[in-house]
Order: sequence, then structure tokens, then C-alpha cells
Amino acid sequence: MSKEAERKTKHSRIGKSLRQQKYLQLMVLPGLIWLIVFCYIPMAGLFAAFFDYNPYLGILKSPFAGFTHFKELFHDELFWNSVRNMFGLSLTKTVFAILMPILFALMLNEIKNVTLKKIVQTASYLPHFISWVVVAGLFIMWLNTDGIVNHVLVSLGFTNEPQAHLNSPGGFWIWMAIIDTWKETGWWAIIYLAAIAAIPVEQYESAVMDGAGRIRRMISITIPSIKSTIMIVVILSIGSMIYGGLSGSNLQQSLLFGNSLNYDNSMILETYIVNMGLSQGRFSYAIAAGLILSLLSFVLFSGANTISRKLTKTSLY
Amino acid sequence: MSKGKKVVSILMAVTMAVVFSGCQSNKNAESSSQPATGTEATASSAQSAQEPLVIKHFYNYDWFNTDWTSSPSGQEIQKQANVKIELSKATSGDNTKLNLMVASGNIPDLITTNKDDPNIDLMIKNGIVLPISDFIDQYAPEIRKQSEPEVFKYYNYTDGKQYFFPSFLVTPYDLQQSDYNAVSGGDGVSAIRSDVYEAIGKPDMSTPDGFFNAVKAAKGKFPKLTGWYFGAFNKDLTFFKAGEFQGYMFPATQFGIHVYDVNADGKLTSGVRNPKFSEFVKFMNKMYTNGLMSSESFVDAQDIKEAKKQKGDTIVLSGIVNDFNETVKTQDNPEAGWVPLPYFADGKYFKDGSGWTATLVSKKVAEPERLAKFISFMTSQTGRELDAYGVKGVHWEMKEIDGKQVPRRTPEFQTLSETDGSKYQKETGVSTYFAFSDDYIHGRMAALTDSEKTDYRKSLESIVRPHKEADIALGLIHPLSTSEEGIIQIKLNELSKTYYPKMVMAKNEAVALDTYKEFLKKAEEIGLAKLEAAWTAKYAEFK
Amino acid sequence: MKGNTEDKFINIVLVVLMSIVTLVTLYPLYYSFIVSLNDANDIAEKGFIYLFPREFTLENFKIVFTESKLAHSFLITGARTIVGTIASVLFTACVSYPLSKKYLAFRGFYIRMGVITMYFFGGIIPTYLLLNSLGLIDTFMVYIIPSLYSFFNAILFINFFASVPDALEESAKIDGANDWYIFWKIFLPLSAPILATVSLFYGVQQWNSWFDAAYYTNLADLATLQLVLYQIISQAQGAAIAANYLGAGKQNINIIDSMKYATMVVSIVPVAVAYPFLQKYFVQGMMVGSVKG
Repeated sequence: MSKEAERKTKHSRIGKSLRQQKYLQLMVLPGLIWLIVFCYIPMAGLFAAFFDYNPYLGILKSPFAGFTHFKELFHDELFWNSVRNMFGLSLTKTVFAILMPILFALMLNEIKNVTLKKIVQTASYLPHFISWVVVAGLFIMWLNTDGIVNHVLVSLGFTNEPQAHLNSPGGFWIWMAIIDTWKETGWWAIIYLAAIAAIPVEQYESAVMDGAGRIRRMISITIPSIKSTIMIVVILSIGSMIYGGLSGSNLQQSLLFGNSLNYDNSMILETYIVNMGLSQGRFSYAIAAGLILSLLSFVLFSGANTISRKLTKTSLY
Repeated sequence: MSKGKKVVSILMAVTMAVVFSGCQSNKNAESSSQPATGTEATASSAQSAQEPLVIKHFYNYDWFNTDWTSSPSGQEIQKQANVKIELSKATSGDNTKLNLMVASGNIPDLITTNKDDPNIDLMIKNGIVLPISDFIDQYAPEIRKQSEPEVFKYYNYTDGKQYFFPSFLVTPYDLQQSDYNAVSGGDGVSAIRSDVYEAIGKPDMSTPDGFFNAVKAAKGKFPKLTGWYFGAFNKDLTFFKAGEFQGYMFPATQFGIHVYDVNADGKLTSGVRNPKFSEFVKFMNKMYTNGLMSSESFVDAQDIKEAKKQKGDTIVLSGIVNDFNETVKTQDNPEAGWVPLPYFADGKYFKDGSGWTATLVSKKVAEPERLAKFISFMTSQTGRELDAYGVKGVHWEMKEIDGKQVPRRTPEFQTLSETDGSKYQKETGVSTYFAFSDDYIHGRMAALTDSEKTDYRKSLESIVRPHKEADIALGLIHPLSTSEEGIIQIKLNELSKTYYPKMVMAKNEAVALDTYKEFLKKAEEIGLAKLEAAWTAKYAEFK
Repeated sequence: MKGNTEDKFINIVLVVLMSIVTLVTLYPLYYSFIVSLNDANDIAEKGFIYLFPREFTLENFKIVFTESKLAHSFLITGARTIVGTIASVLFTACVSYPLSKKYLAFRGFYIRMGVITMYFFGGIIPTYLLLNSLGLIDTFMVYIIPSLYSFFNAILFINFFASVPDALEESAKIDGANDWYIFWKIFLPLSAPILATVSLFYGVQQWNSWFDAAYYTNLADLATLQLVLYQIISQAQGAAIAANYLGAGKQNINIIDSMKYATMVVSIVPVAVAYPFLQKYFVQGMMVGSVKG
């Protein structure tokens, strides 16, 4: 077929699909409009990274700066430090953040006693609601040299000397991961619990009749049934990894738990943006750094999406 | 299923109804809430002289109390000046709200923020604020006479005009007044537990060696206590940012170190180049490596420091003057209080006195003349007294003490201020609307005369007073944060944050001094010399 | 026999593990609860309490509740939670359903458009200027409309809808139903667990919101619960600052910490109470009847 004819066929095919799918397309339309208005129009603000943006004058009247801000960023040792810390912190947290909710949901699902199940589930998601300000206040106190964690460690014989766990760069990433896990596992497990709730009971019933034990049932039924949910959450988690995972807690943790003693490991790119950009009124500089963050994030997400599609056939697009 | 459908459709209908009715009713609410920047004044000028002038005033502090307008002091001020003030404030500790206002061009009549806020430069550049000097000269020249001369001397912008009105300047005149608190509550000072001090024989601790030996001996006798502790009120302090050296910066003051060193030839250099700096590093490192200081001094926030003070967890505590008085005892030994310690001989506590807030006037002000008259009222003696002391006869009165007329709270309110300060503040409205405050007048009510001061207080003051220094110009030479030197300064701040603890906590003296050298080298690489040149140039302009 | 021992063992391990987890997650909350009921000065002087309040007092809560704006903010937050959640859930579900159909024309394009919005944001200044020009600033609608659609939640819906067997849709189409009918009468009722989940996510976001209240509204009447609570704390901190520098009488800084816990309790309790009602949608096997047919 000639190119002209091909196009005509494609167009008429599309036209036919649109007519067939008119309800579906109409249902999508409001969402599309909403995205354009509330997401894409403000997104134009990202161009400020290439200007010396003066918010009052607006983008068009601000002086053009090209890649100046990016050059400055890449020459700053502090910038690279903050990138390193961001990855260190994020990777540590993401490993836990992906695994723990799955494990927790699976275990919770296996509890037979309904009351116990309800209590445990309610207790597990409550920490999600405590603001980081309060959580930080609590944990800083508990991890101090005379805090409760040291009391327990010393009396159980794990260490001889009480340590200020948060006051050195070393333990920072691990402790942030632990605290984040405590706070968010129960909450993100809800997604998996919903997916598990959708599994038809008959599948389990027939497995029992075939003689499968608890663990066997979990491995052959529960896990495969929620596989697509797991992969979607994994893709999203990797995509938002540099912000601290789905809860995006990196910045909060860095600001609240960071101090001059652990600064070498606690200063992440987002804090860099706040300290060196926003609080000094350097909008364009801050937006340029933020643009780098967004790009990194997007690349990670796309990568995860592609790999997932190839390996497990589940992907977002 | 059909029942479910019914429920859902009803909910949808309700949602739609709310959505659409909301749009309608809120349109009205919205239009009336647009910041109209003081255009409520009616048409005829005769009538506008009767109606109170509506002033919209924004305070860039999230802790500001906007209920001031309903307090006695607030109401009296509004009545006498024939104004109606509408207060708004920042919603969080950063500048976001002000940024948004500047970005949308929608600023209220008056804006009060820190005098080094980068937004000030932005507002001036964008031409949305009036030069205060012109404004005053045109509509209310008496304001110049009602203010200290320094108020109009140091704050000119690059175009030679002054764009904001500063508050709380400490001028040489103030320092000479006998009823002026030359030593203020926030000045830094150290104290030692009295029981420990007795136990080691009350030695002389006014030298680094004396201090070290004393704390070492004390720690030997009281091993459970921390040796030396200093909590930070403000986590941001570095060696390169102008401000009082409090908390963990306080030890540097003992060696005469501050941000700026003014050399004989007029050049300004950074305090980190001061010859005494290595002495300072050595001393701190010695204290740390001998277990006489805890690293938590670098990180603890104000409330933890307060708790440690009350418990008496430490032998020597470096805090502020207001931390200590004769009634403060330690928890484990109710007999033990805190004995103030003298400064080291080189000690210098520097407080530039260049003021706190800057207040700007929007160009869109509808009735500039009446606004100027309001500011005139606020800077008059009556206005200042209402703002700082409250309503005369109700909250305060003039008393004669030590042969001087001084303002003092009435007995009822004095008691209230001592038991519940926030209630006192709410019920009087004093010290809340501080945009136009003058430090001397403002402080007269709290400044104690000789006969009112306790011996304890007098001993504190005699320790700090000789070492206090001030210089308004030095408070104003920091570069604009978006300029090249400004960026250098920010980077140096970050450098300071990590290197200061590193120097102090180095393994031994040799490593500490090496770290110091590294610190200097890195500072040079970042551009310290350029920054110092900028300081020097700016300082020269003030002379 | 073998099944029984395996069962028992697993049960015991589970119960023990879960109990530990519960205690560990609950204790910090419990601690905050008892501190909020304890006298602030007592805590400052004597330090930790572990199990029960030492000096019981309702003072911390009194301070929070005597704040005049608090009651009204409960109303605002409640209203926006209910209206916002319903609107957002329905809007999102409606837009997500077509995206779950692999045969949808331009599907890839739509999804990519949505994905990009998850990673690139213009920031607060462009958003503010946009909302300003739309006339949404200082209106109740600024709490609803900009939150109608979260692509993250859309993904949850898409994933769920996609997992429903095609047979359902095909047989409905054979019976002559159009897509809208299928969505409303078949897929939506089936998606109880996902509806509950997304309602929870949107609901919590509305309940906890303070950012939009802080920056997109100026009217005190539109303040939300979290905003007022935040202001109570910062006001108290301001009083402490004033004490240090402006000489406005003796301030009690100990109270600030205890107040923080009290405000936290105030904001969590309604959520903790509401959640159990949603929990029943997470019980296994909701789909029993429909899929079989």
C-alpha cells in the first residue's frame, strides 16, 4: 500500500475506534483537561531554570541565563556531596520500603483471629499520621546517649558504651531507613491488602482440597495474584526513590534529623536546594537543581518500567 | 445493587450542587478578600478624614500574634491614630508567603521582615515599594526628629535612597543611658554549679588553663556530670554570618573572635584568620579530647539545653544572661545554684546593634499622607509608650527610683508578667507590634535600676559589660545573597558547619591544627578573599 | 496431621511477631498520648515517663481547644475531606477506567502524559499564579479542584480494573451495554477494596492538608485543622522568642513540647476512629459472587 493510502487507512481506523470508544474517550477528557490546566501550565515554571527568574517580572521579562545555573551546580563540590548522600540515603531506604510492606501484608493476611488482625493493622498504619516533626523529636531523644535505645542495648549486652547514634555520619542512613520503615510500612501495606482482598476465596479452597499447606498456598496463590500490584508499586517506588520513596520523606528527615555532626551524610540535594537556593532568594538556581532531580527521577522510573515490562510483563505503559 | 446506585447518584448530585453553589458564593467572598491595599477609603476627602484608615500590615514571622489588634494596647493605638489595622503573617518559617506576594505583585500597605531579607532587594528592584526617606520628607517630616539619627544614616540602597524603616537599633546614645540595659538578656555568659565550684576550691577560671584545670578537677570529683556544655539557640550560626555568637559559637567569643576583624589599615578580615583562632581551636580540642565536653553541645536544641540546665547535668554551662538568676537551682541538689564565670581576658561579645526588622511601604498605598501620619504617631512618645508599655494608668505608670523617672508595670500586671508571660502579653498587647520600636524606649520598662537589681544580676552584668562591643556598620556590610560574594558567603557557612565540629573533635592537637589549616585552605578556594574585599568596600562607605 | 502442625507453628510465630510489631508501632503513639496528658513542667524537670502520666493534667488540651479558630477549622477540614474525597475518588475512577483498556486509542499517550506529571512540577510560584488567575485563591474550591486527580491513585485504579477478567465486559457488551453503563454498574461496584483504598488516600490527604491552606488562602475562615494546630505551636514558640528578646514577661517554654503532642493527638484520633469502618472492605473474598457468573 502506498504511504498515502496507509495513512488514510490508519486515520479511518482511528476515526472508527474513536466513534466506537466515544464514551471511553469522553470519560478521559476531563482528566486530560485537568492535567493540562493544573499540571502542565505550572510546569512551564521549570523554564525559569534557564533564566535569572524574577517572579515579579515573570519569565518573559527576566534575563536569559542559558546553562549558567547548571554549570555552577556541576562545579560545586557541595552539590556532588549532596547527590552522593541522596543516593546513599535513598537506596538504603528503598530496599526496606519495597520489601517490608509486602512481607507485612502477607503475614497479616495469614492471621486467622479477626480481632488480632484488626488490632495489628490499625496499629501498624497509625505512625503514618504522626508528623515528622513529632517523630523527629521523639527519636532524637531516644537515640541520644542517655536515651532509651542505648539503655536497652547496654543492658542487653550488645554494646559497652552508649553512643549518640544520630550524631555521626555513619549511622545516619540506616537509622533513617529504620525510622521510615516503622512509620510507613503499615500504611503502604494497605495497597497489598486491598489486592489480596480481591483474590477469590475459591482459589484457596481448591488449593486446600489439593492438599497444599499454608506456605505453599501463599507462594502459589497469594503472591502471584498480587504480582502486578507489587510490580507497579516497585516501579513507582524506584521512580520516587530519590525523594525518599513513595512517602517522599528524604527532605523532612534531612532537615529534622540533620545536624552539624552528621552533616556529611545528611545533606541531600533537596536540602542543598533549600539552603543554597530558596532561602537565599535564588529561585532560578533552586529550580535548576530541582529540574535535575525531576529528570533523575523520571529516568529511574522509565528504566524500572521498561525492565519490569521485559521481565514480568507488568508495566505502566 | 440498585440501592447502591441510588446512594451513589445522590452523592453525585450533592457533590455537583456543592461544587456549583460553591463557585457562586465564593466569587463574592473572593472579590472582597482581594488585598485591596488600603482602598477602602471613601470618595470625598472630608469623609475620609473621619473614617479610620485601613492599613494592611504583613509581618514575615510565622510566630507573630495577629490578635494584637484586639488587645488593649492595639485598640488604644488604633483609636488614637484613627486607623484600622489588618494584620497578616507568614505561615511557615521560610519566605514562601512573601515570595508569593512579591511574585504576584499583591503586597499589602506595610511589610515587616528581617533587615537582610533578600526579598527587600527584589521589592526595590521591581519598583513596588516607596523610598521611605522621600515618603517621610513629603508627608511627615517630624518622624526624623522623633527617631534617632542613626535610623536614617545607615540604610541607604545603592541609589542613595532609604527604602525601609529599621527597628531596635542600639546607638551610642542608648549605651550611655544609665537606665539602658547595656547587658541584655540574650548576651552570652557561662556559669558553674556552685556545689562543684566549692568542692574544687573556687579557683580562678578566667584563663584557658585555669578553666581547663578547674573543669578537669571537677570532673574527677563528679564523674557523672558532663564537663562543659553549651546549647544552641540557633543552629545556623557560622563564623561567616553576622550575628551574636551564642550557643556553640560562644566559646569563640572568649578568644576575642567574631565574624569581622577591623584592621588598623581599614581592611576587614574574617575572624577565622585571627591569630587567636588557633588558640581557640587548641583549647576546644583539649577540652574535648580530655572528655570534658560532649559533642551534643553542637546539636541540642533550645528545649534540651533548658532541660539539662534545670537538671544540673553539667558542671559548666554556657548560656545567656537570662538563663541564670539567684533562684535557678539544680534538680539533684536544691541548694546548688549557678555561679557566673568571668570572661577570658581576650573575651569580646559583639552585638552590632544594627537593628532587627525592616518595614517597607507599598507603592500602591491609596492614602500615603494618612499612612505617614500613622507612622508619625507610632514613632511619637505616646505611640511608643502604648506599644512598649501598654495603657498608662492601667498597665503601667511612671515611678521614681534612684532619682529617675522610669516606667514600671502596675502591681497586678507585674505579678502576671512574672507568672505567665504569654497571658500578660495577650492581655496587654505590649511588645507585639514591634515594627517601629526603638530599643532604648522599648526596654526602659524591663531595664532595672541599680537598687532594683539583685546582687546576682549585678555580678552577671559586671562580668559581661566590659567585654561588650558594638558597631552598627558592621551589622550591615554583608553582601546581597544573590550576588557573587553572597554566594561565597553561603558556601562558607556550609563549610563552617562541618569543619567547626571536626576541628574540635579531632584526635589530638596536631590533627586539630591540620584540620584548621585545611579549613582555611578550602575557605580560600571558595573565595574568602573576595568576600573580605566586599566587606572592606562596604564598610568604607559608612565612614 | 502434617497440615495441622505446620498450621499451628505458623500461627504461633505470626502471633508473636505481630504482637511485637504492634507494641513497637504503638508505643511511640502511646508515649505521645501520655505526655500530652502530663504536666509540662514535670516532664522538663523529671524527664521520661514510661507507662502512665505522672502529673495528670488537661492543661495542654485546654490550651489547644481554647484557640478560637480551632472549632471552625474542624468544620472546614471535615467539609473538605468529605466533599474532596467523594469528588476526587469518582473523578479519578471515571478517568482511569478507560485507561485500563488496552484497546483504547491513544492510551500510551494519555498514560505518558500522566506519568510526566508525577515527576515534573513547576513549583509553588507558578501554581499560585495560575490559581490566582483562575480566581481560586481564597475560596473553598481551592481545596477541591486542584486535588481532584492524582495520577498515583489513577494507577491503582487502572491496575485494578485491568485485572478484572475480560469475560465480564464482553458478555455485557453482547447484551448491548455501552462503556459508561459497564463502568457504573459492573466495574465500580466490584472495586470496593480499591475504592476504599483510594478513598483512604484522598481522605487522609485532605484531612492532613495545611500547605494549600497556608499559601493559597488568607481568610482566617478557611483555615484547616492542621494549619491552626501548626499556628498554635508557632505562636507559643513566638512567645518564647519574645521572652528572650523583647522582655515580655516570663514565658514557659516547657509547654511547647507537650502542646505538640496534644495537637498530634487531636489530629490523629478522628482518623483512627474512622478507619475501622473502611476496614471491612479489606476482608478477603469480596468478589465471590460476581466473577463466577
